Amino acid sequence: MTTETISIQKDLQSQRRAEADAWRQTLAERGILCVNLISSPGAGKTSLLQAMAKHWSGRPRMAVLVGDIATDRDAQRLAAWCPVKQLTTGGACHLELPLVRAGWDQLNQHDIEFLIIENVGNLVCPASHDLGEHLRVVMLSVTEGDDKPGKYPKAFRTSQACVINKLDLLPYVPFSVSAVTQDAHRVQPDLRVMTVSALTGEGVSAWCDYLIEQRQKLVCLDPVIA
Amino acid sequence: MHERSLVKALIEQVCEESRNRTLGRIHEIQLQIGEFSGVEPRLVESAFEEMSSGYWDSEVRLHVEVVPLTAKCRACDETFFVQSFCFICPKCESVHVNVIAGEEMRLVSVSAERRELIR
Repeated sequence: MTTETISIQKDLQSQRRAEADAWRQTLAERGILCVNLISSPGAGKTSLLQAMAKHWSGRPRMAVLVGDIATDRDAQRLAAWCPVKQLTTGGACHLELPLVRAGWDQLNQHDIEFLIIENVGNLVCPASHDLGEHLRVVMLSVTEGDDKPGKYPKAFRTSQACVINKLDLLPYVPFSVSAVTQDAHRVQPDLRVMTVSALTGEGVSAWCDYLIEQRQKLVCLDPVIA
Repeated sequence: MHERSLVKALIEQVCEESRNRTLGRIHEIQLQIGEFSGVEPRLVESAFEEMSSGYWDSEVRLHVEVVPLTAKCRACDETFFVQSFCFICPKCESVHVNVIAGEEMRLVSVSAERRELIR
């Protein structure tokens, strides 16, 4: 017996990445834009989805997969507006692709144009898990403070858009939209930053238009036809 | 939180390589973890310590090398370590940079006893 060092050079995340890429492709071919929405708990993810569903009122069609550690409270809040399936992780702090796909199989998929995955409230672990989304959106509310991008760089670095929520509370809290935007752009210069109030509806229309634009880019349709 | 599932993937990968290459006793596994991989080396080490005994009778060491977050500027080709997660080129201040290392979790090599083949 001799001991030797055998070179292997294998990326341990390559299989997961390939699975996410395949899923992303499948959804794109069906004309579905998949969005992975991440934020800390209480930033207003479900409220934003309610506001979106209300704004679109059935057209374009969106479906939601909502992740939580426990309860189906978020799914109940959305059930009146769109097809929704609660994903309960039973303790895990983030969603992973197999759970998302199992949830998708149980959804009414008819005519869906947008699949929104509401991740478990957490700015850390969800950033490291590709769910096959076309667009990752990090959400932040003004009550959380404007120092978050630098503190949670991966969530911001891996996102393409950032939604700042609870704009209605801005006069009451020490939060600077320009400071947070600057901090976020240090980490991710291409990040599209948008402000909304899911409560009053301010900014929701522009946010919805942005998603429609992203879907048009994905399916390469003429905006007039789409 | 997800370190355990990554360690499981690591151990299974080593077992598969070991079978395919007909390796004998494994002494050490060399692993690279990127600084920006979202994987915490200390948690990987403790998960490995706990889980490896379920797969191997003798002790297998895990050697973790942390790979710094490294980017290359698309404008001026400067390669630099990303400090404090600021993705801006220190030379020309361009924001158009590509991450070239620091996001990986790679099984680099294993040190093992090679079984003598019977000829």
